[in-house]
Amino acid sequence: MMCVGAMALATAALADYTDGKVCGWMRIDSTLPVTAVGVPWVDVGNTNSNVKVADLVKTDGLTDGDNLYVFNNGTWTFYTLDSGAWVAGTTANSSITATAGTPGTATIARGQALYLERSSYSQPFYVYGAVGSALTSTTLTGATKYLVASPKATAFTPTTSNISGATPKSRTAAGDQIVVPLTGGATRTYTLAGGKWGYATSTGRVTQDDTANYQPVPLGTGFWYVTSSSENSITITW
Amino acid sequence: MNMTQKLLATLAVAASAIIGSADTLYWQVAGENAGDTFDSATLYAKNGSTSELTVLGTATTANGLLFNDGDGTYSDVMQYDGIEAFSGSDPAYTFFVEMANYSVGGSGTPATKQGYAYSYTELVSAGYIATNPFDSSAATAAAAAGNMGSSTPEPTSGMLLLIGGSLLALRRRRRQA
Repeated sequence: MMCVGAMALATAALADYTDGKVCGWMRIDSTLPVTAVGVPWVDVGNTNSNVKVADLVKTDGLTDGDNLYVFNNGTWTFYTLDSGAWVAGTTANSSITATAGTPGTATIARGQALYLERSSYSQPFYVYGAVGSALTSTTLTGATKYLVASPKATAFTPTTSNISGATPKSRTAAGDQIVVPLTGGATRTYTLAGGKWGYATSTGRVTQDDTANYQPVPLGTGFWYVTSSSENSITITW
Repeated sequence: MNMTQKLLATLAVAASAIIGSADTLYWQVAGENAGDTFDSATLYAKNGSTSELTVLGTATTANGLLFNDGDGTYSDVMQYDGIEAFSGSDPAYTFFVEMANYSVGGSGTPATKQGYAYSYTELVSAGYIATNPFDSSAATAAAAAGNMGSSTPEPTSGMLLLIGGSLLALRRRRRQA
């Protein structure tokens, strides 16, 4: 396939990836041993087909034994880097129960995310694929926990305008929550309360109305969406 | 494996998971009964040697972290990153929530109400401290379960504990997803 290479720094503000003839690399500036990575690309050479898990994360700079983990409806599947290629997982991190994936066929859709576990993590890494047609929204149903990410080249800001179907927090229910692993190893938990999405800080709650201080989900970062029932249907407009 | 052995095993797993990130303590507070109200909820760490109190977080109406939708007062999901700083045994810390002007049914005589004092071990064992680098949402699940918590600490149950009208909801991250 003829394509035009495009390098996109994870921190750069770029237009959405919508040109169908462009391949892309996105640099993920993580220095964490375990990083949640968003999937912005489709498969190279197969227009708008989901990218193969084994193709998404470039192996350059990684170490044999590093693992990729895909979460789907409560189940983890994993892959291990062996001699520079992603193969079926061999030894998973003891924190989770994961089964070996099939790197030849397994794919992952834009709007989802996966985890990369590295033994050497001082340097950035890259995700790779082809640009697809615009993905405007993702609907979550059939599970209570989802690992997702914005497919766009812009940071995602949780608001009542771009998330529908969410259950608000109440005295007797935790409500829907968005949990974001941050670069420094901390997390940020967004909740829907008082008719607004927001999160707690040491000085108080920051809500979507406080546009000067309300922080989005960082570009390229996967996050957890947690809801109370698998029957709930949540639509996220990217 | 007896209870002590279970707790020690849990702590060993948690300690080995901290590479590269801070452990997070998650908590939230809700009125014990419909209509119960309070003005603030503060999470303290108490030094076992000196009894000195360290404030780990406060939710108030003024800072936007307390809500009341007519069913009573409740807090946002609160978190404290770096809770491992309080994990030592010398001194050993305990953790509790104190609510100011707690009013039963919203009309009773306001009084200060203090929740159960947890040890660090109990927090870890109950799944309130996040140590699993893969699943940042585990604490969220704990928070949901906590709304149905019991009035008696149950360190190995993984449930939240509803003590004296306060709900302390936390998780640990080293638990399997």
